[in-house]
Amino acid sequence: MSLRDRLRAKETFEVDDAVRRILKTWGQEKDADVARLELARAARRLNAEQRNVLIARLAEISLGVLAAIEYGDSK
Amino acid sequence: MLRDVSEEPSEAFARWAERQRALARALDLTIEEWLEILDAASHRTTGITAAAIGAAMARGLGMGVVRGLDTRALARRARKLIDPLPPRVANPVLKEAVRRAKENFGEGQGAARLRAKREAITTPRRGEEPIGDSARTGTPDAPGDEP
Repeated sequence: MSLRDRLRAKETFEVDDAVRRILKTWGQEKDADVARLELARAARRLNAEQRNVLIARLAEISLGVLAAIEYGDSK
Repeated sequence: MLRDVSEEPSEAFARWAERQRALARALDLTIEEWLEILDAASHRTTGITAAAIGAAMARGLGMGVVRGLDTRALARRARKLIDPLPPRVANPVLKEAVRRAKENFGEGQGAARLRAKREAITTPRRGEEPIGDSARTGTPDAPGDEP
């Protein structure tokens, strides 16, 4: 993405912002079942591009959590 | 989302794997698709490193989590945890069915769990005391005092 392309920059920001809001809500919910339910509902409202970004971030977070569990286990 | 520090390590791994399967279901993905997404994510080391640091901090662990972080090995471990006994069938639908068969979720169980979390709502009951003077006033339907 070109930094001079203001229209595309705005579009990219909005995609990230929508995903960020969903991830924030998901991360703050204490009950895992409720968090997943809200995540599923929110994911259905996203367009294909946003949904792909959300899924990619969730995969990274999942692997990050696994790394922390392994690290905690090794200590 | 994160592990309770009081949990046993093996329990934490099992819970993580269970949540991954549930997450795939919530996102309308098959287990196979989710495993492929995790494999693809393992190439994006920056995102995983940031997530690992965040998860470690939330557990009171240090930055040592990033030391020797092998994201490819992490993805392989994830695959083993989520799908310890991969189905031998080739058909993707059957494969998913075999994987889901072990999950014990009855129909309507999700709704029942959500309902159970709600606070009990008591039925309102009319008090014994009359509401006011007009409560004793007679109407065409109920006899009472003269207005």
